[in-house]
Amino acid sequence: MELRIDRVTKNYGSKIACDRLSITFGKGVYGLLGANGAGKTTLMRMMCGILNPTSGTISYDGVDVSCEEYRDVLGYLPQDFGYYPEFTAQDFMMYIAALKGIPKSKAKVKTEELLEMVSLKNEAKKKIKTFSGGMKQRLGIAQAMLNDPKILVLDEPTAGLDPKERVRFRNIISRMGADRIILLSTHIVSDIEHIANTILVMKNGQLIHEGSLEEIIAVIRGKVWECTVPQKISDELTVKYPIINTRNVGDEVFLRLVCDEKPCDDAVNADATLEDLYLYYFSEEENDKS
Amino acid sequence: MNLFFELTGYEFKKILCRKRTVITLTLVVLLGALSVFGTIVGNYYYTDENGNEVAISRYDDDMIDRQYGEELSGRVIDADLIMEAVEAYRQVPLNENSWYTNTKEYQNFARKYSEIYGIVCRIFDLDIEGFQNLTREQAEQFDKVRRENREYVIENSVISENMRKYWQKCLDESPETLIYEYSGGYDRFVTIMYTTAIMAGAAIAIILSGIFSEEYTSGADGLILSSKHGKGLVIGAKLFAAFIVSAVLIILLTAMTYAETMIVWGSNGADGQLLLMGNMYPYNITIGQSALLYCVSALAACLMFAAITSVLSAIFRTPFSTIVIMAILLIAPMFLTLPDEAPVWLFCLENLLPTNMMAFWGAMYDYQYEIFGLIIPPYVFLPVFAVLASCVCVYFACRAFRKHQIG
Repeated sequence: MELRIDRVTKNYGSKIACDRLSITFGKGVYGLLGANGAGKTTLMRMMCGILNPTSGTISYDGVDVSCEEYRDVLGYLPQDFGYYPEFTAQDFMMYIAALKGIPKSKAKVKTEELLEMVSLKNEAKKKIKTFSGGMKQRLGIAQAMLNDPKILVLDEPTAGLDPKERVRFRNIISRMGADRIILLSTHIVSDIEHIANTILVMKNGQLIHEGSLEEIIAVIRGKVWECTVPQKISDELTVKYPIINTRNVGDEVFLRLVCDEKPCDDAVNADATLEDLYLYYFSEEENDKS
Repeated sequence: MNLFFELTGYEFKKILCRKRTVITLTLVVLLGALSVFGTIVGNYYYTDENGNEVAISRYDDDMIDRQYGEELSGRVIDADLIMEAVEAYRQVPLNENSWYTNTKEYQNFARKYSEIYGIVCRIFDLDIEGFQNLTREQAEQFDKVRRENREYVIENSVISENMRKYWQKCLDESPETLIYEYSGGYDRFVTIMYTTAIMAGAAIAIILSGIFSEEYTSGADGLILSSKHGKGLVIGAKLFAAFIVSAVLIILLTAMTYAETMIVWGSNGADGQLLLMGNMYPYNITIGQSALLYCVSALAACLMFAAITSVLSAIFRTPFSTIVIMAILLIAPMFLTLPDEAPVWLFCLENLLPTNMMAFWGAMYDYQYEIFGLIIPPYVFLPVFAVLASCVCVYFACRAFRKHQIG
């Protein structure tokens, strides 16, 4: 089981959304991290065959992404997926099952099973237009799993889910990752931290890091600092460094920040987390965008 | 195959569940009913010999014509019948200050023969005075003059030799005499059917404009195109559903129009010669056959309209663009008038526009289509062309959706 992305590039005019990406996926859960516009969604769309790369190839066990055979083993949850307001959850699942070529009898059983898994069993006969954002998202997750996919691509799957649902979903994904390729992107770093065997960090269309949580975090080990400083110094540090956390402590301010050197005399090294890494790489871009 | 029909079922559901579809269908059915009954609502006014304004409902007025027409049905239009009509019309006083149809004499004697009057005047190129002065000798020449008129057109039209031969052959095979048949129902049907077909076309454009593009706007395209059958079977299912919906719509509207017109004006006249509707029609078919062939042509035109709508829907990202273009395509040909001196092929080409294909005169056009020396009457060519054009559209619709990029 091998999903190979070979020197894939996607250009939109002069803008390079993905720049010569080469990744080989085996079984497991892959977490894709990157700021908005890093090229995550573009990469995922290309992996699902709904966007043609400008150059490069994507194949699964030698089968090209454009083949029906490839799509047969694919499950995809887009970032903003469309639904049919007048369809019930069950209708929608049955329709997607038909699109995936699942026989009706099998589709019924699978639909029931998946709707139960995403806690929508009681809402199966309700029209989707009556669903909340979280319910729609759960339905989206369920439809992606209908064909028991070998490749599961999930773009922001936990957006809109409440904490309880997120934990539930994370556990399901972890279990499923044992015998398939799962790629998920999310801004909720803790989700990736908990379930991804391999983390991919994208910036400006390029893959800048790939590895396990430990390997990824090693990049900023010794660069995460915590300190409690007066307001004036806090203001100076905030301008200078990416701040991960800030909290008022009496007259002073507690700061957790990322920088290469000790930011002030009182600062002490802290254990690095994935969120620290994310902010270390993307705080500038996020600031630019805002 | 089961999967195909299962997917088609979902496509039906998507189409029919849209608010736009429900509103459009309701409006079309209402307008369809109104377009028939609307013509008999209200009164017809005329001034009698005493200068009094007399009102008669349009329905009653039409029923009088129907009764007179039915009484004359089956009679050969020969000198006897023509002179009978002339005698009746001679009783009508002509007055510059009032229209002759307002006179008591017209209502009592001549009106019965108004259909015969119309046919004879077309052949001899007469007005009311000329008709009143028509002699028996002239009346006896009716069939001869009728034939000469057509021969003149055959000799003087700028057409190919093949077409000339075809016209001559049609003329040689046409019956020597004309038998009058009242065909009020069919006359109204083929006229109102044009409006019905245009309405069906508009409804099809509105209903099907979102068949592909609504998947783009809703974001369902990602789910569809990344699924196993998203780039194959489902496109076929969408197009199949689109054609079925269009076909059912036009058939229902046609049936409704037919039923209404036949109920009001009667279903007589199906066996009457097409020549009764116009002397220049070269086709030796009956009025009933011509109505049927026209309906096939209108159905094919609507299906072609559905196919064009589908292509545009697959190309454009919003249904609105499709609706605008289809509205232009539907309305513009109505305002397109070619100069009389334009070559025949240009007129024939103009008739290939779906809007013109929906008209009776389009399907029964005097000029035929010549392909590699073979002369094909429009009522055959137009549906065949529509089917072929639809196939091309289907190909491009499939291609456009399959190649649609989400980015």
